[in-house]
Amino acid sequence: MSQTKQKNTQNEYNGNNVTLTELKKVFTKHDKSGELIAVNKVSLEFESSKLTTLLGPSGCGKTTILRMIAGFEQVTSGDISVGGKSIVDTAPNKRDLSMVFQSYALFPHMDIFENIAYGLRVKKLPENEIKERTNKVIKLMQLDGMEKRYPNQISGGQQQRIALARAIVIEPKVLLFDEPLSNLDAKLREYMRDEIRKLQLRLGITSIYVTHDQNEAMAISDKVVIMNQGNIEQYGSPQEIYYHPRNKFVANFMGKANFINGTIQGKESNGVFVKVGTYSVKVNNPGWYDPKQGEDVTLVIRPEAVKFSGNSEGLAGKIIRATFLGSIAEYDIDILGNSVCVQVYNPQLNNIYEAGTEVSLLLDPDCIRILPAKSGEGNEI
Amino acid sequence: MKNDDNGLRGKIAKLNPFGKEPLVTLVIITIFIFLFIFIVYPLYKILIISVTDSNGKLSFEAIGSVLANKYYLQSLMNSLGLALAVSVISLFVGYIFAYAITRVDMPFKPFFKMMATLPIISPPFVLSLSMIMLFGRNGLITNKLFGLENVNIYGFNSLLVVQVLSFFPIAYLTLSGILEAIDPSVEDAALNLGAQRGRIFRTVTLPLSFPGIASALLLVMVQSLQDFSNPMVLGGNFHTLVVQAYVEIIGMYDMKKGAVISIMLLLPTLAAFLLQKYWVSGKSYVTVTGKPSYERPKLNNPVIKWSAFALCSLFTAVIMLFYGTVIYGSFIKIWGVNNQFTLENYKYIFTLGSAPVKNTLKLAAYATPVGGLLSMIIAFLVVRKQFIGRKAMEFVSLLAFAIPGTVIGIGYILSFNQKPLLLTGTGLILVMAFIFRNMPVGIESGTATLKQIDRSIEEASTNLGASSFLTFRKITLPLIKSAFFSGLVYAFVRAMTAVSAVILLISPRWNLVTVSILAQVENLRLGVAAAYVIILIIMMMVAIGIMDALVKRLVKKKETA
Repeated sequence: MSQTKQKNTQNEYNGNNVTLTELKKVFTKHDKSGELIAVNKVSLEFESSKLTTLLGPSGCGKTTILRMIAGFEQVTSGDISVGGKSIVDTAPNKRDLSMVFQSYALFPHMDIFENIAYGLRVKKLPENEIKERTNKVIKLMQLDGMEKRYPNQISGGQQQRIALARAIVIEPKVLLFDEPLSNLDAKLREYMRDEIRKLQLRLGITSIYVTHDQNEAMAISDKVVIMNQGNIEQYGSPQEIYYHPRNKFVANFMGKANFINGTIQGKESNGVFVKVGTYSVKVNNPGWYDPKQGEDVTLVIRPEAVKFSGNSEGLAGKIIRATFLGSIAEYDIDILGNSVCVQVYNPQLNNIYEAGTEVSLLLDPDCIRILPAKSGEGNEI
Repeated sequence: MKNDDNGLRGKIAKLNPFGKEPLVTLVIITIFIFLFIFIVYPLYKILIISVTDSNGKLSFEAIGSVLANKYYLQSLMNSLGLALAVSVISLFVGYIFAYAITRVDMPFKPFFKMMATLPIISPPFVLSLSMIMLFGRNGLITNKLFGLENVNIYGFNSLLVVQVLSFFPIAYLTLSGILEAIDPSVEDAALNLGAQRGRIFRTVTLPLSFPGIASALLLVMVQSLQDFSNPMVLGGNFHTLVVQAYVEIIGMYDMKKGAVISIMLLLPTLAAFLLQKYWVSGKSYVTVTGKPSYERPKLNNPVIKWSAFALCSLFTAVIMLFYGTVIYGSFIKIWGVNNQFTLENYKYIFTLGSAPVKNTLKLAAYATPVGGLLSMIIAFLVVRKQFIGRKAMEFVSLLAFAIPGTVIGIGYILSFNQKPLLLTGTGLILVMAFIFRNMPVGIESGTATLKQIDRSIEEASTNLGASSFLTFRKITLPLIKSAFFSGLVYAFVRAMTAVSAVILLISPRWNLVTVSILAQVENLRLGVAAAYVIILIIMMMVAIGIMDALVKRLVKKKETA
């Protein structure tokens, strides 16, 4: 803790990586009937100056991790460190990590200026420095002219910006976001998402962002952590996770995915052949799993990587449902009992099919991944 | 403006007895008539009698003579001073309880919660009675423990203790509601920004609870000013306005002076009530943004935790001491003189003294369902219907909370002592006093609950063909059953424990148990008084249990029907 504060340069934020080591959180159930493992021995490193998203369904433990980092929840076992120094025994108000709350948690009895200046006042900085830094952030967040208003007099988007301003004005080591956009309407959510990302890139503050919205996660993150039932399913860049899911859960949670069962027919130097019904599918880049000859596997393919052949070549199937969505047309196609989703972009250039049509599908050999057939919906504990 | 439905014409159309819902209009008119007769008219009579002479001519003689009398002014100052002291101390105690229960990881919370609300449903005289038993001339502590002789407990100090114990629960309930409603993430945000616990309390929690603090102060002040039973028993030479008014009427038969004094009493209670209702409650900051996202983490710093526990335990111990003393006292022959165990006190009540108990029960049983239902109907009309005088109906029906019982009593005597409204001496006048005095809590909880229920649920019922009445019975009432129940319980408890209004209205035929308790205390038959109190408490608990079962059954039946 003897680090001397440097000037407000990007360098200040280097070396503020957050490391979780075997982090565990157990809650006692409300009726005291037993225990609930919210976070199960999670080890992870959030890289310095990067924005990392914790993504998962509700109850997966993502918010618990964030609140443990902030210090609002006690750690059951394991360690959390920032820049190599453990913080689990540091009081929540001494951790120097700012949080942007889901409900914004603005102080309703203080005006906007005082809300933003609060953290600086707590630090007992000289009045002119408080003024200067607060005004700087007000300018940065384009909140000029609102200083004297109160939180209940401004819109949700503005409240969000004030919450963000209040968090960054104290120049924290790490920014924590707890589903900050979930109270905004769809349009504003996209706008604020880009604002947050721009600001984070500009300031380079290590950021940990909790959300259950996969689009938000993909748009905003350097790295994404997919969580399920207290465990990490996968960690990687949005592209790695989208194109190389470790298991069905990840494939399903991040975007739409089709799962088609088949059997390994042959392995060659330039790829793997998988038999699906009577059709042979070529897979150029099967991914992390190396299947054996004759093994039952699951093929994972994204809806946008499936094409209609326009003739009888390919996997034969029948359209069950056709949905026109404007920029895309989406079809559910029955193939040997599997339901396969196909997305066709700019459908006006292609035929728009109707339900009941018999079609044949071509799967792009570069876009298919192979998972073991037993790869469940997630890691069973 | 085309087809202005909210304009005067629309309103008249809605009030038209031959309009869309003539029955609703009829109910509205009936309620107005009753509110006028039993709340507005008595107040008007008090006002008139205090500004006329015995011939009915305008005269300020009565007011002049009261104001010229230092004795009455002293009583006013006494009442106000006591109310101020009681409300400030109650606020501290209530805040400590509310903070400990909502914010601190303290053991035995359900127990402390119960103890902090117990004095609300307890009969009057309990605390004064045990005050005498513990600290009086023959007091357990003063005399037996410390061997003090001739202690004088009558006066300001005893009243302060007893009223704080009686009224701090109001402060506790008001404050715990406010403290609970503050979004936990607001305090977390302050912590996250580096503030220490003390600073968070000073800069966030405390300022956010200011509306609750003001409310609590004013509500306790109203209660203290209205209190009759404690000053009556423990006041001694410390005279308060309520007792003064009573003495003028019962002791001196001077209605005029009684009326003037009651107006002196009414003004501050009314001012406090109006301030609370229309100024403070508009200042609330609660729920400015978002939803409370998670359960509030409780403070478990050992210093805070155990000091909160110690303080709560201390107050609770005092409350238990006071109640325990009354239970003990009800089994004692002559307190302080002959401390033998006896059942005679109870035997006396079940033989000679049973009439007041039965009377009280009977009248409360009439008044409670009528008052409970009426308050739900008024809540429904005020929240859901548009009609001329809607605000007036809400205001007048809530006004009763601010009118001291003594004032109601005097007003009723003046209003109902001649035909066609000759009610004095009957049980009906008591029932009416119960109904109209005890409605406000039911109305408040009813309106609060109704405002949270989406209007479209009732609109759906209307849309499917149900009338306003069917909708009220089938949809609204089941949805607000908890408010209905608390309204019933409150109305019943208040009816069973009323003193100040009824003591002016009782007759030999209709004597009530609280008045009997007062008589026993005045005759220093503390054991019998204590036994009455215990029986009253047991009856109330049984009745609350029955009401709970009835309301549940009533609503269930409707659900299956």
